Amino acid sequence: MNLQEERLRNHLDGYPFTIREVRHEENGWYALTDRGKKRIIYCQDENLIRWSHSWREYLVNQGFRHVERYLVNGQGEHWISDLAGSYALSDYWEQDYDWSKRNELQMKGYQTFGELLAHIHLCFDNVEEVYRGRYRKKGTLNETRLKSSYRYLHAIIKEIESRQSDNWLLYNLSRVAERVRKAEALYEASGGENDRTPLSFAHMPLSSLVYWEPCWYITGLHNPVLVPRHEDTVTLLEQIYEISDTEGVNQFLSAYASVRRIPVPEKNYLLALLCYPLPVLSGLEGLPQLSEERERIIAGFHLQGQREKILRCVTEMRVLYEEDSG
Amino acid sequence: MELVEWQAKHLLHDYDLRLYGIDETEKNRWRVETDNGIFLLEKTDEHPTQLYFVASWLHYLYSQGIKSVVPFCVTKYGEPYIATRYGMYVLQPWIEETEAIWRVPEWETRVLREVGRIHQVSIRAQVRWQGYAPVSLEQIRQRWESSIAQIVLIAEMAGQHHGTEVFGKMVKKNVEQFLHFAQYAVRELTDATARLERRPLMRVLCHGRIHRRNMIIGAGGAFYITRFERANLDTPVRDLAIFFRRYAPRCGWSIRRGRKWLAAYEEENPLTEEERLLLSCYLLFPERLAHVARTYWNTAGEDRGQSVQQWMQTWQKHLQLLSEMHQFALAIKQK
Repeated sequence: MNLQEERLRNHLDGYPFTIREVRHEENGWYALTDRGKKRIIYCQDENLIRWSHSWREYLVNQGFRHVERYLVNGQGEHWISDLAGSYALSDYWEQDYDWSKRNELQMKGYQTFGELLAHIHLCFDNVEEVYRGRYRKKGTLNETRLKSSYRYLHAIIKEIESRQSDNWLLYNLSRVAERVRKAEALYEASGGENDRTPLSFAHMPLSSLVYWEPCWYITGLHNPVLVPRHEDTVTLLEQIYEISDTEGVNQFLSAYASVRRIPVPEKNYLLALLCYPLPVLSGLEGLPQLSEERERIIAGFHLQGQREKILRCVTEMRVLYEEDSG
Repeated sequence: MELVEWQAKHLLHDYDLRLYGIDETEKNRWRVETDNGIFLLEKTDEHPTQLYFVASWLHYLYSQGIKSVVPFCVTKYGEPYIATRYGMYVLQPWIEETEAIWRVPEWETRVLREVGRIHQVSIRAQVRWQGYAPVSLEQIRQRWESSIAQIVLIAEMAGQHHGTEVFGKMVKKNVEQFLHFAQYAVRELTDATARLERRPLMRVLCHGRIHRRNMIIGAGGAFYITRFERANLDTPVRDLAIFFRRYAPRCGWSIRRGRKWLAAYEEENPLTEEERLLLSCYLLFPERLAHVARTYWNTAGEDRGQSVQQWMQTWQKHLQLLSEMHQFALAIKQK
C-alpha cells in the first residue's frame, strides 16, 4: 500500500461502513465499501471544500436533494482535514452525456440546469467573505487583457495592411476591434475590476447534470477553478446552443429568471463576456503566419457568431434582470 | 399522497438502501423491503424543528438503555429525516407485530412502567431540545370552558329544532348532569393552578398519544412504543391522564385497578404531591363526553348520519360512568 492510499484509509476509518479497497482510477480515487463505490475527493484548500459544501447543502435546503453531497463520518463531519489537505467522500454519478442527445429530455434538462445555476448563484449572493484561495483566478476579462487585446489586434492589422492580402480578414478584424471596445465599455460598467464580484465556476459541463429516472442529479464539480460569476453561465449557454440553438438557450434563461433576477452590474459583466471576441482572438493567437490555419481562424469567427446569437437572446430576455436597463 | 416506487427509490438512496419492494400499510406509511432489511417509511406533516426534537430524544433514550423506542434512521448525510418538496419523510426499522398488545396479560402495567422509565430518563438529560410547547393549565381551563359552552349550545339547539338531531336531544336530556361534573373540575383546576403558581412543574418527555395502537409486541415479546411525532416536554401527568381517560373506563374506573397501574408507573418515576393533585384535576373533567360532542359539532350535518349511533353509545357509556370517574379522580390523589 503506498503512502497516499494508507493516508486515505486512515481517514476513511471514521466512516460508518466497511472499506474493502481504496484505489486510484483514471478519474481519481475511489473507495470500494460494503455500501457501494464512493468517490474520494481530495483538496489542498479546506476553504474550497467548504465553498463547495455550502452550495450543495443550499440546494438541498431549497428542496433539490439530488446533488452529489459529502457523506458524514462517525463524528458528523462532512470532511476531514490534515496538514496535506482535506478529504471527503461522496456517492457519485458518472457524468451523463446521453440526456442532451434525447429530444424528449433536452428542454427539461436545460430548464433544470437554469434553475439550479440560479440557486447556486443565489447561495452566494449574501455571503460577505469571498473565497481568496489558490483556486481563484482572474477570469476571462480584466483591464490588462482588454488592453493587450487592442495591442494585439493593432499589430495584426498592421501586418495584414503591409502584406496587402487577406482583405476579408482585415475587414472582419475591424469588427472584432469594435466588439472589444463594446466589451470594454460593458466591463467598466460592471465594476468587474473591483474584485468584489461573487465567484462561480470557470466552466460547467452539461454532463454534470445526470438523469436517473425520473429525477435529475448534479454530479461532480469538485475542486473547481473559481472566477467572477457568469463564466459558468456562458459555457453552459454555448453548449446548449450547439445542441438546441436559441430555443434551448431561451429555455435555460427563462428557467434561470424564474429563480433569480440578475442585478445590473452582473448583467453588464455577462454581456461583456459574450461580446468579447474570445474565440476569434484565441484562434489568432500563436500563429506565426496568418495565412496558415485559415480554417482555425474561420472557426473562431463562426464560434463568435454563435456567441452573438446567444448575446441577442440574453439581451432580449428582459425578465432576467432586476431593472430594465435597456 | 401515494408514494410511488420511484419516489421511494430516491428517498432510500439517501440511506444507502436499494428498494426491493414497497407496501402501503396505512395512509402515509409504507413497509419497504431493501437490500439491508425491512423498514417503515413514513410521510409526516410535522415541522422540521419538531422532527429534529423527536429524533434527538429517541436517539438519546435509546442510548440510555430504553430499547422500547425506535430511533429514526439517519441518512448518509447525517439527517434524521428527509425534507423534500413533497413533504417530510422519516425511516425506521420495521417491527413485525407478533401479538396484539391487548392480549398480553397486565399490558397496562407494563406500558405504564415503561412510560415511567422514559419519563425518568428524560429528566436526567443534559440537553433539552426544543419541540412543541407544554400545554399550560390556563390553556386547559380555557379548553374545558369551551367544551362546556359547546355542549350547552348543542343542548339548546336541540331544544329549538324540535328533535331532528337525536344526538342533540340526548345531550339536552343529560346536560345538567354533565355540567355538574364539568364545572366541579374547572373549579378544582382553578384552585390547583393557584396552588401551583409558584412551583414550576417538572417537565419530562411526554409521548402525547399513549394508545395501544401505538404499541407493538415484537419478536421474543419485546415491547415497543411508536409514533412519538407529537411528543413534547410537559408534566408527566399529561401522559398519565391520556392513558387513564382511555383505558380506565374499560374497567369501570376501578379504583383498585387504577392504583395498581399508577403504582407500576411510580416504580420508575414517583409522582410529587403536586403532580398527583394535577392528575386528579385532569381526570375530574368528563373529557370523553366533551370529545364526542366536539366530534359531533365538527362534523358537517349531512355527514352525521353514519356516526350518530356510535356517538350516542359513547355518550351513554361515559355518562353512566361519571360518578365512578369522579370517585376515581378523588381517590388517585392519595398514595
